[in-house]
Amino acid sequence: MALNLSETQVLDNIQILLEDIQNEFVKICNLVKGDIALILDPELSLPLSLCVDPPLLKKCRVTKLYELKDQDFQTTITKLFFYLKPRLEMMSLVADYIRSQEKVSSSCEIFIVFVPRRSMICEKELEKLGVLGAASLIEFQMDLLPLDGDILTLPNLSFTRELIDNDTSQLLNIAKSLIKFQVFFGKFQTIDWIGEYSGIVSDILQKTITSSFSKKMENSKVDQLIIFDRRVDLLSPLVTQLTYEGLIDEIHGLQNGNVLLNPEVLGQRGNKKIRIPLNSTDPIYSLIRDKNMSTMGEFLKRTIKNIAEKYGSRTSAKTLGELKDFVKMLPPLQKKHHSLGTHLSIYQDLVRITGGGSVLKKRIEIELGMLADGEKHFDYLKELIYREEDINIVLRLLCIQSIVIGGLKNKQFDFFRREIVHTYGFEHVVTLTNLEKLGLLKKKEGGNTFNSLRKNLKLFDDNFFKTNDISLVHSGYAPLSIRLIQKLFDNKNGWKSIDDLIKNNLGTNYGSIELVPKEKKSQNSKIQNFTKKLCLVFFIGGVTYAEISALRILSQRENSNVEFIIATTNMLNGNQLIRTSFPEKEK
Amino acid sequence: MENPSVHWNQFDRYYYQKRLVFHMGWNEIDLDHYLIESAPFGGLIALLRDDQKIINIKNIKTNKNCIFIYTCSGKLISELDYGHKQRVKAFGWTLDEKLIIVYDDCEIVVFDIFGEKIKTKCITSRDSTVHLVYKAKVWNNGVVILTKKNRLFIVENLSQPRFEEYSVPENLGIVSDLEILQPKFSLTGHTEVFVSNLAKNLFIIDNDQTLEIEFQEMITHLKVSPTGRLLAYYTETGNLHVISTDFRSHFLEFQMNSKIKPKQIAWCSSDTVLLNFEKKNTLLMVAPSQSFLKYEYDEPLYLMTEEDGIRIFTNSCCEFLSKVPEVVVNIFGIGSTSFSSLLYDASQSYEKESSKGDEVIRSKMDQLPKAITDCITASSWVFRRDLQKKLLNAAAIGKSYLDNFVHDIFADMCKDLRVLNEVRGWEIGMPLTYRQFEKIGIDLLIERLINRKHHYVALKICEYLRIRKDRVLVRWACQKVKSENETDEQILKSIISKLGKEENVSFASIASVAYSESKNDLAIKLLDYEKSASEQVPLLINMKNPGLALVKAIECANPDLIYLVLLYLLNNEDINENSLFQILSNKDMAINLLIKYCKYKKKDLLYKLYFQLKRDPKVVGLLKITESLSDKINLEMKLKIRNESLIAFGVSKNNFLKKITEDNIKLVKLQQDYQQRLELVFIGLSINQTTAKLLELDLEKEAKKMKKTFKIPNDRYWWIKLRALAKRHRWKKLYTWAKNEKSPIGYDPFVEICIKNRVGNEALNYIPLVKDPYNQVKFYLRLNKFEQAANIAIKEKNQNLLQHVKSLAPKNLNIPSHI
Repeated sequence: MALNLSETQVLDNIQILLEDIQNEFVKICNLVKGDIALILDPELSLPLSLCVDPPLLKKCRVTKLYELKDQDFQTTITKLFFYLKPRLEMMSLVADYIRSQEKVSSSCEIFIVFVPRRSMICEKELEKLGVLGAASLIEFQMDLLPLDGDILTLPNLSFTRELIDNDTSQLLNIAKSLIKFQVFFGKFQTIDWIGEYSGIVSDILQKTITSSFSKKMENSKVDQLIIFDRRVDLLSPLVTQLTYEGLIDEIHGLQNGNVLLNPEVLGQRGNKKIRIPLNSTDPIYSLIRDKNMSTMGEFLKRTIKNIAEKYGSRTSAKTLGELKDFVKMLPPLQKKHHSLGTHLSIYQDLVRITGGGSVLKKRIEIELGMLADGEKHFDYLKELIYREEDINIVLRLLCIQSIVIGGLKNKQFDFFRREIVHTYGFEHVVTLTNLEKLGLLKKKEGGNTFNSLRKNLKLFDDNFFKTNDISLVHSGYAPLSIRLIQKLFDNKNGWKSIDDLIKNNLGTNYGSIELVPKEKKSQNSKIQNFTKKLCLVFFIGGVTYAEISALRILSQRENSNVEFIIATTNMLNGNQLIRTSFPEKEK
Repeated sequence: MENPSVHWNQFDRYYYQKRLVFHMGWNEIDLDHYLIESAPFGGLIALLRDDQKIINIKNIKTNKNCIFIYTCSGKLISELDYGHKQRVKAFGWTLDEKLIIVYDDCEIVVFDIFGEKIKTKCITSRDSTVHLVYKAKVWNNGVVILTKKNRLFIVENLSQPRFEEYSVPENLGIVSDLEILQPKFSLTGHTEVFVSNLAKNLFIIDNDQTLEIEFQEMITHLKVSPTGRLLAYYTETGNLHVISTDFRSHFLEFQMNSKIKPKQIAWCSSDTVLLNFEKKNTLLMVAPSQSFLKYEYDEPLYLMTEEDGIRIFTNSCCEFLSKVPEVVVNIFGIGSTSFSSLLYDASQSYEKESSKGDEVIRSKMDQLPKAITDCITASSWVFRRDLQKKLLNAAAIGKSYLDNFVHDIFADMCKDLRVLNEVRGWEIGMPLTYRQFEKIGIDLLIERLINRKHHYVALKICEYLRIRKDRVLVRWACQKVKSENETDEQILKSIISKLGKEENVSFASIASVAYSESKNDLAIKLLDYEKSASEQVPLLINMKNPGLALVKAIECANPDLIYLVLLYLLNNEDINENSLFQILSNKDMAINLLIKYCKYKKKDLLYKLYFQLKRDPKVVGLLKITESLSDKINLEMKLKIRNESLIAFGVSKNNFLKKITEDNIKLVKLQQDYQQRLELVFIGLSINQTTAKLLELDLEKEAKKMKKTFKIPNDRYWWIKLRALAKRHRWKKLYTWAKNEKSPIGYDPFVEICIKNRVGNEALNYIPLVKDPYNQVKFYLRLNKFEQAANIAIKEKNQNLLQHVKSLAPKNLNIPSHI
């Protein structure tokens, strides 16, 4: 659902990205007169709902919505728009459908709309299937869309499978989305990139920037771009998120900034799940989303007291003026009041799930033990398997174990793989090799690289409550990804100061590009001295809510002069990462 | 100097002027012997010999399979060879002066004016029968064809591959005339076709319906006005009618009372209709008021409607007939008292250094701005340069009286007129009126000039108007490349000297011309100047240099370009797998894309790729396993593929994968056996699930066999059995088992599972067996057995624990508070 972010955006006018894409959609619909049927690639239904809502559909005369699946459907509407990701395997389905529709009515107007861009290979396939003449091909450039005041996503690009397959075909689209972003918000002045994919994207950006940019874009609103290749740090998504927002995502799953809750969580009755939008327009949520679960109780109590006091001011109000002030205060107060009620219920439910004696609490303790000191918990892992716990949970913990101790010994490696395949089924032979491919699970060879990372980057910090360190997002573990980004701001030499660590321990590469000549920049920075520098961090392959919280914490530190906007191919959490490594079954 | 108004004819409340545009430069052309089509907006004219006319051989120019293309001034551009095989059924022009030819077998070819084929399209139905054209009509970029079997095909836009077939009414019969209403004018947004037949019917056909109108007499001619709003038709008894194209209003009925058919009827703008009665040497103009005007001619005519008038071609000259606009009438009209006319006269008196003009102008200062604009507008209409000058001079003088007059319209008009006068000359021969120029725009004008190879003029116009000139330069360079009297070096040098510093120049398109002229070296050199990879790659492929193409494609990480090269490699018979692998080696981005493609399209190649390029047979085995997981294939196939994967794992010496796959194959075979014997579903279950299922069925022996076959560790086996028995609520059996054998997993799970299944009494059996006293207490408390819990605490001598128990216990229970 489209958000109204006018009050909470970090970057002025971020809404323009949404409006631009909506206009594009209207333009496409206006290619025809009369009623329209949309037929969607199932993978596009959810992304599309981020920018196209029912009123817009109505305005565009879309009267029918279908998903393109195996089954046949027929409609009397003669203007058909197929919205497709350029996936080769979908083309024959489309072709079958067009042919059957042609038999019904010869006067159909058919458009194949590729999202976000046309693909030659798919067009060739359509041509081979003999339907190119019957349909017009266009593209719908659904690029970066606001998910919240400071989060942008490329909703049509879920880039996790690509990490396993080494599939680089979407990198150009990522670069193009960033070029479009600059058309709206001006040129980036510097780019810092880390990881192979980031390097490719940065390369494309550099080439385009030097060749064809208009004067208008000189006026940059976003100073810096950081491109982060998820493969540099696949550990952090596996660690249980322990912020309020992160935990909601772990337990209930957040989708497009919404959560679906069982009514009993909210103390209501019924069977239908309740959709709660969670974003910065919610006054309470924006205050608590980044807080560690253990400090939330205190905070909520204080907020309740605060609101109660404000309500109380009614009785103390004596003069007419005071009463007037009170009435003025009422609507925002009631909004807060209502929101507070919702969050109290959700919080209580989370406390029940994570509280003392719970399975989850024990698991988190084990997880933190591994991360803090490289503790070994093979018996616990074995028991999880023997209890036939959820495979996602088993594999997340097993991968964390493997990483922190620098790989499993031969015997253990084979043992766990065997127990998992015997218990959860043969297909997980593939899952396990995919995890190996990602480097999440491995046989012990050579030294333990994680130890030096932990030491040098202070990946574990017990004192997070006092220091307000980013490690509070995982109750002690500071996400490696964000620690790396932090280095860019805390050390004058940035990543150069940890060159060896990046190249040898992380086994990857990095780079930095100045796009605006130094003289010009100093001019600009004079003006900007008073405001915080704006930095866009793009995660290729996804980012977790906990990592976003960590970035927000970074920008709220006392001496910080940077504000972050987060852009990502998709939101990610541990379960999703594990699930991507499951075999893709041909249907 | 004569006043222009002497050439005006007053007609139907307006003035009309028939102006001589050109004396034709051609010799011995008799329009009567040709079928003629001219491009709109002062465009070229094409002449095709009419083979139904018998002509004296002496009068025929050269061979008969060609179309002559002339400018409006009668200068020959080319003799376009349209081929020998087929007959031309219709031809016409696109706005940028490409010639569209429709042949009798429904083939449509677009030619450039020098006879090069740009596009070929053939209308065939699905059953690929060949249709024969009965009548066809060409407009802009579209074609409509009526076949001899009365099928109606429409191509609305030749640059797109789509064509439509309209369903035709069965009673259409023999057609007398056919006319179209362009999609931009129709209400539906689709082409409408008007067809009249010998049975006195008129059909209006569009993409989903047909309207039929019966008439008193047969219609012989149909003509839609240039704005698409009006339809003129002429009947066999000599009646001319004008109606609206939506058939709601009737504007004119004009009776000729003559059975002589006009050779041509045509609109003059959208105001009047012209009837060409060649046999009577008469051209008749008819107005809506039924008034008419007669022009006499003693030569054959060809009429070409324009949006603001009509061009009339004869053997000897080209004329333009149009309404005189009001601003012009106001200035030059005899006895006109408009202020623009006074301003014009005043400017004339200035020339004579008389002060009279000054007084006139000062007398009506308030009307001056309009008078100035009127003079400027009028200058746009006249063709005579002396009059243009005088009108602009009048405007300039008027302007000098005003401080705040916006100069731009004056300056723009001067510029535009300079450009127009250039193209209106005999050499270029494009008599564009200002209104036509406004309509087609400068881009199309430049395009036409380039098409006619007037590169120099086009370039000068671009420079004069300060607009992008890269297009002109590139097209010039493409011509230059074809030059045969110069060496490659010379050509390259002269191209680079002119284009090297320009931005946005597509060197690839120049290189591609060089390649098609078999100048490969020149092409590659030119390509080096190309900045965009998407331009380089396709050409390099064409030039059979896929290796370099692939490198360029990878450099810009463009999957489309990479695929373009890959598809070329896969589909080219000259390239065998070895050379494919050679080109691909070390190009990971390309290999991964190819793998993605092969997964759907070319499985056989996929495995070879892994063996050859990735040198990783293990992956092949895993791919096979993934393949075997598909729901689409049957069990036998699955086993076969899994067996194949064993070979790969063997080669890669991957013992774990080999062993686990062998286990699986063994399992499936066992499951097949159970499935048959027990008539229950086993296939698809994991080893744990299979064992559990056997235990649930009390097939202890079989379960033990599973344990042995797959070396299930004892503790895992206990877990499986525990859950299986609990699921079936075999509590007694569970207890016996626990008593007789020592549990390797302790007894906590036993307690837990009993509590979970709400059989508390059963749970009590196992609590004493639990090792950890804290857990014992915990379990007792969960079952509300406070006394037992307290006893443990006492036994453990743990005061705190005891306190804890006491605090939870109901008050009436006698729990000691101290040990």
